[in-house]
Parts: sequence; structure tokens; C-alpha cells
Amino acid sequence: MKKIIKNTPAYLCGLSLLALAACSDNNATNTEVTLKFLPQIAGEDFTCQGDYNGMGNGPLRTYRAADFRWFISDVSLRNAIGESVPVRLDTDDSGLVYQNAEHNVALLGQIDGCSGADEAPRLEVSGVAKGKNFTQACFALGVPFALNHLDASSNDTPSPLNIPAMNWFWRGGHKFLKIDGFGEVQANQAGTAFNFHLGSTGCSNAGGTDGMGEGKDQPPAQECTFPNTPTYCFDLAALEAGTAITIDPARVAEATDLGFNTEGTAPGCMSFMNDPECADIVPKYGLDYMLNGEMLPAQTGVLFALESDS
Amino acid sequence: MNRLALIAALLAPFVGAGLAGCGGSGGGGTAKGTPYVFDLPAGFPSPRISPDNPITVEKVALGRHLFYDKRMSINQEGSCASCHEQRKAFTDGRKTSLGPTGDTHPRNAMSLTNVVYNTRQNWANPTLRNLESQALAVMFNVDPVELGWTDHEDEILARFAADPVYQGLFAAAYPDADNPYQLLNVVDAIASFGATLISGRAPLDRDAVNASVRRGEDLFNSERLECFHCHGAFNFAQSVQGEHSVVDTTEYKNNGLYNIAGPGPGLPLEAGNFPTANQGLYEFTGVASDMGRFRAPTLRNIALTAPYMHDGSIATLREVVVDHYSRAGRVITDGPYAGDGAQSPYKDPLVQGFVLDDQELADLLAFFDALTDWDFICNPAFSDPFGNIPMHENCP
Repeated sequence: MKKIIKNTPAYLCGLSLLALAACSDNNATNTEVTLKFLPQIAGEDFTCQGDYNGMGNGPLRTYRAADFRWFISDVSLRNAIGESVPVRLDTDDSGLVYQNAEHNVALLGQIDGCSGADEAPRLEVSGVAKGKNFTQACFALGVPFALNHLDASSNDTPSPLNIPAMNWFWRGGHKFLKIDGFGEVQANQAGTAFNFHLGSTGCSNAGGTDGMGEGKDQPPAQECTFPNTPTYCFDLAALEAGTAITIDPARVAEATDLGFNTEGTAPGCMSFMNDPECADIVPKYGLDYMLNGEMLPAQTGVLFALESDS
Repeated sequence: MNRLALIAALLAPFVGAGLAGCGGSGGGGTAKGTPYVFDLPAGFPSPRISPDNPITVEKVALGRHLFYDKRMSINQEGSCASCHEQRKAFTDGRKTSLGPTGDTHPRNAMSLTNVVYNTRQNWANPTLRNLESQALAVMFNVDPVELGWTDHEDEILARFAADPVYQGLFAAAYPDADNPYQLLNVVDAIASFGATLISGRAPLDRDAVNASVRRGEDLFNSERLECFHCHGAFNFAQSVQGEHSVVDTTEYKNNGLYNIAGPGPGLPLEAGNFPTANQGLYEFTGVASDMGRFRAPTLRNIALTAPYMHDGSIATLREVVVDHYSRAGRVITDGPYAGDGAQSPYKDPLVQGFVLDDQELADLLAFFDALTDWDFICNPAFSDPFGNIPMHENCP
């Protein structure tokens, strides 16, 4: 009884005794999945204010990390012929998982951003999908459009979509990824601020784009030109065997000097168009990137990787 | 009793045995009265009110009187309002505050604008989670002495018990109490008044702004200046919560204000030290990376709260932008605090510097001015019921 309740989401079970029998049947034909994440910097486990080697291609390749958190969404399982079934995530009272009929979202990593609130890191998400014989687990980095532009201050906006630090700017959507730190850093110095932020860009509303200009207080009327929500899929058998999914900015920054920032652009690559520091990084998330009118095509996304492969 | 024990534990570092006499019936929690209904600005979430201290019109009225009453201090020379004047958006205009007994506080008085939304009160005290605990901290602090209640609770409470005006106010706020003149009732009333200090009807909120303000707003929210990362959302501050918040969003940041070399007396680290006795979160945690970390305050009404920073060490908003943030941290060329804050190893990586032309600087400052909410600054409901503290000269 306890096992059934634990392993099967309530929405499948209904309320009656009859439904419990159905529940057992469902249990036999459902698939549970747990995604275990491991935030790393250049192959070493992330810690707040930790110093790392092997980041970027500058002369020192050093990095000091000061924040590391990200959203995933639309977790699903796929079978061998590419059919996709959504995962119903297990919820708890942490406020870090939200789902409705269409979407699921989870905030992961260093939830308090290394800043003193003592929130524990969140590194796991689990759930269940209807059906068997799946081969892959998939998720998107980021927040889907339908949830991305909710007003973070509204009473109606659920946690974790109401967390100020992951709010990009006034109604402009959420930061999907927030890794902050300093590149080419030396002991007792600041180094060069080099942050990895990702969010949707080219979002237009009544009078402007990207939440700027007149009409900025209105959410975008249509999907952004660059949603920037790359999908990653991993071998389900490996995940079921307990293999973690690493998330490591060193893999996207391997050809970028983290000690340099073009004046007048964001410090690091914060995903806005036309930032030279993003030219090699954003495509390695698995995303197209627009640099001064030239479209740099998406490459295979390498931000996430199975621990056994990384 | 759990609540009393909690508060006693909270105060333990700086209060002796003084709380022993303050228990008894009637403290907090059970007050009847007229529920206070918040008139919230558009886009503001419902505030989180402690279930132990339901907010009533009567408690707010009592709290307003106590907030402005000099009898709240041991020597009757100052009140909460001495450091929190409405005309200055509930600050005092001083670099650092001066207590009624003459003690100088190491830090600049914070604005009380929208304090009910703060996940933590104070510049960098991670233990002060609500307005009740903040009020207690001010009342009982002994280093420096602020209101000076320690070991004088009964003496101060007796002043109010003997005053017919307060007899009415206390009886209305705590109608079930045999003896309403209790420490926690004072605390709950002041916290209730503080919770009403909500500001969200500035010209920017009402779209009553010109193109310069809008350009300044775009700069503020741009990936060039990065201001919004620490001063974003409805309160232009990050450590905020509403009634429905779940995750603790408190964030303390080092903005590169100091970078004093060490180690030396009062300067524990090799680099990045802040001046002794003003080292922010580090004073609570002892963790090097917490050196100089303070809570980013709201920017609402910021044009009225000079001087700026936790120690009031920058006089004007123009200097905050030009001399500090635009160069990614302040440089101090000589003296005991010499060092380049921009090179502090503990600075936040979103303080990265920028170049503004004269028009852009004017636009940014116009944006700050457009955050001044005159309905708030001039609201008679927040004003001194005794009429001693003048209103802002712009008020009708």
C-alpha cells in the first residue's frame, strides 16, 4: 500500500478502492526515473567560492565560482522509435518543482546562490511516466514559454518561478542558467568577471523587445525568436544504474578566454545577441546564436553529459 | 512559550537575564480586533504576516504611537523615528546613526520602505527573519545601545501603563489581556505598524515618467550595467518574499566597496577586508567569502535616503554610480582603508563596471528619482501622531 502511494502519482490513482487496483496495474506499466545531477567546474565538483583549473583557453585557465543554479523543464521519456511520454514529477514542499497539465519545471543546483540563505543544493528530480520500454530520458534546459513570462511578483505565480534571483528582468522571463564567477583569477585578486547566463532572447511585446522600451511591462505576445531551451537526452539504462548527469561550463568554454570581456557587453556570456564572448559558448549549449547579423549554428549540446562519458 | 523561548534565544548574545520578567499572560498571538486590509500597489504580492501576530487596525495604531514616542528609549531622548524619518523614506540622513544615549551605530540607518517583504531585516544579520525580531534587536541592543531596554523593561512599560492615551490604545489592541503592557505586545504593535509601510506608487509605477526615465530604466535593466540582478523585481531588491514564497531567497553581496590588505588587527584576511566592526555577513559566519557581504536594499525612494551604503560612506547617488559602480568598485588611495574594491577577491561577479556618457548618467539618475513615491512619503497614516517630526517640504 505504502509502496503504491509512494511510487504512483496521486493523479493516476483517484480516490476509490477500485482505483487502487487500477493503480497497481498502472504501477506495473509505468516507468520511474530519477535524474541525478552533478554540478562541476572543469571536472571537479562545484563548491561556492571554489577555485578551479582548466576553464577556458586563457593563459591561466583558472576560475572562481560564485553561483551555480539552473532550471530544467518538460522532463520526458522516449522509446526506441522516438515517441515521447511526459514524466509526472514527484512533488514535495521544497517549492523547487512545479508542474501543471502541460509542463513540469524544477530549479536545481545551488538554490541560494552561495549567498547565505543556507538553502540546501537540489541535485535530484524524479518522477514517473506511463508506459514501459523507454530508452531515453530527456529534459530541456530552461523554462517553457508558457511559464517563462509570468510576473514573478504575482500571488498567482508558483514557486520556483517567483524567485527574484532567477528573474531575468522586469517581465523579461527567467534566467535558465546562472553560473557566476571570475576567469583568469589569481590568489587574493578579483580576476575577470565571467558569468554564464542563459535566457530567451528576441522576445517582443507591444512596443519593444527583450523587455526594453515602451510596453516592457507586458509579457511577450508571441514566442521569442530565440527561446534558448535546448533539449538533452540521456540513456535511460545508465540513469537507472545510478549514473549522474554532470553539468560543467568548462565543456562550453573550452575555446573562450575567460579573462577577456568586450567593453559594453555583459561580463562573460549572458546570452544576449551580439556578444563576442558568446560566439563559441552558446552554440555548444546546442543553440543557434546571432552574432552581428551572422547566424552561428547550434552544435551538439555539451553542457550536460553522463558522468561516465565526461 | 515557544515563541518567547525563540526570542530569548535570539537575543541571548546581547541580552542578559533581562527577559526573565517579561513573560506572563497577554503576550502576542491572540489579539482580536479589526483585521488590517492592505491596500497593495499593482504587482505587489500579499505580504507574509506572522501567524503569531495577526495584523489589526488597533495594533497598527498602537504601533504608530510607540514608533514615534521618545518614551520608548531608556532616557526618553529618542524613538524609532529618530533614525527613521518619513520625510527621508524612514532614514535619518546621517552617515551612521546616533542612538538616544549617545552611542554611535557602526551602520547607516536602513529605509523602512517595504520592510514587510524582506526575507531578513538589517544589513547583514541572518538571524533577523521578521519585523518582530528586528524591533527586539533595536530595543535590546547593548553594543551600541539603541533604545536601551535591557534591564529596564518594567520601567519603560510602566510609562505607557500610566498614560491614559496608551491605556486606550493597548486595551483596543489587546482586548483579551488582563495586563496588556507586555514586552511582546509592544514588539507586535511596532512590527504591525512597520508592516504597513508599503511603497509602490512612484511615478515609474504610474507610467507618469518622461523619456529620460525610460532610457534610465532600460540602462538599469541592461546587460551593460547589470543593476537588476541585485535590485530587481517589484521591490528593486532581491531578498524579498511574499505570502506564497517557499524558497528562502536571501542573498548577501559584496559590491567592492573596500579591499583592505591584511592580515592585521581587525583585518583577518590577506585581501578584501572591510573596516573592522563593519564586515557584513562575515561577522556571523567567519567564512572568508562572506567578508563585506551585505543585503542589497530596496531602491524605492532611494533618492531620499542619502548617504548611501552600509556605512553611509558615499554621499550622493551620482557618486554611487560614477565613483563606485561604474569602475566596478571603489578605490581608496590612502589612509587605513586604502585599497581598490574593484580587485577584491570577494566581490560579486555581477559588479563589473561600465562607461556612461553624460546623458546616460542623467537618465539613470532620473530613473532613481522616479522611484520616489510621494503618496508614501506624505501619507498621514505613517506620520508622527505627536506632530513633532516635520513632513517633507514637498508634502501638501
